[in-house]
Amino acid sequence: MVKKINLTKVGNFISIIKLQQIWTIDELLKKVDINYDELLYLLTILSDIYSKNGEYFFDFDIDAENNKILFNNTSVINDMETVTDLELFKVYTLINIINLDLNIDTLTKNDINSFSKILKDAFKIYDLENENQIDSKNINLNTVTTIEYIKLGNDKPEFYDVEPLLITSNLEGSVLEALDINDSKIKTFLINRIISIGDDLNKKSKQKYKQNDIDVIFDVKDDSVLLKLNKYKKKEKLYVAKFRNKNIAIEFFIENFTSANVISPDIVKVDVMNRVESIRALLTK
Amino acid sequence: MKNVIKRCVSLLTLFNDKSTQISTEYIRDNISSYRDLSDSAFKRSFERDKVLLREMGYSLDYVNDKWSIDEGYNLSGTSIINSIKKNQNIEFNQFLNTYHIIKKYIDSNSENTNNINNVSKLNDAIKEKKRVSFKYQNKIRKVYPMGIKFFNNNWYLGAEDNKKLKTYNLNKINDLKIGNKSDLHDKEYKEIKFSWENKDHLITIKLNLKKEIYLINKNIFNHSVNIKKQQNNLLNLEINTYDINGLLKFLLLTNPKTITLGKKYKSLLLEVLDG
Repeated sequence: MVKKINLTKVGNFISIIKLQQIWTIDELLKKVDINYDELLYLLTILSDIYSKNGEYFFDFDIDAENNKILFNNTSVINDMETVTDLELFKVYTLINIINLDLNIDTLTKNDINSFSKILKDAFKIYDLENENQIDSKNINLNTVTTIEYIKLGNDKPEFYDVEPLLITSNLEGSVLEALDINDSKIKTFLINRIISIGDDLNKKSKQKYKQNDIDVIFDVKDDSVLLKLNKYKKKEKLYVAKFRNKNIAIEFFIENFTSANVISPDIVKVDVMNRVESIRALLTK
Repeated sequence: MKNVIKRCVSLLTLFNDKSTQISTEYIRDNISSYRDLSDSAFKRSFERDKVLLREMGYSLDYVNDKWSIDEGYNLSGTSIINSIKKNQNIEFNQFLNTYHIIKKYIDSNSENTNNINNVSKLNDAIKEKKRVSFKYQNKIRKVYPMGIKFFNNNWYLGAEDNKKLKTYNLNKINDLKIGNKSDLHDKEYKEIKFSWENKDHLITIKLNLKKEIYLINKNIFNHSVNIKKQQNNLLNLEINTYDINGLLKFLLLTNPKTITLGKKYKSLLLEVLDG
């Protein structure tokens, strides 16, 4: 079954096959993170491409009997750079948000630190490590642990037994994708809302409750607030966005009070205005 | 998708052979899947391919410099990896190997890129000490970029504007243009302080709030902690900040029980609160 092969995947493949001429097929599949059908699909696409002077972009021999693949790369492929500044920049961002501890033999903490230092020097990046930003969140991927987490829109922590799988990001920030051991489901946790990690956490029972999603109508004073929303619709001069629950909507409009005003429903509008009035009262004392 | 990928890789190989000022006609003549298309179909395909390449981090820009005879497309976006490759103190294959292992465990393909596509161009401008211009909050800014900084899930540009270092959110930068001239200054800033527009107030505020509420919201704004005392689960804090917008956001989200703050700064915060 061929998954969605996109241009980034192709770029990643080109960058990897430049590392060495002969690969065992299994090692290559593991490294590129694809299956055999996807490898054949990639090879078919790339072997159709010619460089400007008419030679093949790349050439390969598969020795299925010995599980080997040999690449006869041209100078065109060797000179071509498929690791872009943007990609390095995004990787740098993610590895610096948290103290990433990859539980694999082939990579040490020192390797990650030296990789990060090379990028920091290459980009003109100022310190990420402000005093208030240092997070001692040591996420050990693929190892079962417990996390103390405050859900968006809530102010009380809950405890989850999880196996961390992947670090990614979305509009709300950097995200840990992890398998919830008790629910057997993959869930996402915003990294800056993880209070603590470790097996020795004093666990309390987890409250289960379900809230319905909610549509909020609002107007904007600053268009950039719309960039923080996954989906919204324009309705004449107003906007409508769906939130996973009432509390998340309230938190969003409290945080962005100076950029967006809630028009309806009242259950969101009233809570936002109450918070604003409470801060106004503190400031006018 | 197969054809689109082929065309995009062919475009990259074409620029690899002849990296500067490639005309539209040259591109069309040298990529077979463009050659047979009608004018309008070629234009549509080429524009779509440019967008795909941009999402990957490549910039395919048309250069039309009034002082130069040549004009045409330039491809950029890989200057970092090229500079690392040339650096003899770096074991390049080891670097690349680490990159590919890390990539398996972190997914950087989120759509949350917004204007960070500008990072590569800004980074080149910083290194080459060029001037840049862009639209920011409905004004055209002409600044000397000095550095970039990540904060609260956003990237910021630190740039000198009228001899003052200011901070610009990359998400709000539009119509970025890079000047032609290099080595326009010899300025160095060791630290980019968050100063918004022309306001530059150091605010000291005392507040008390729940420890976990502070932990999940502390990255909302740039601040330093002068005093931190914990009583049960309540934190008594004294903090310094220059970031008045961020402080207001923090107060709204955390709803502290009490705050102690100078009258002047209370008025400033009320001003921001009332827009």
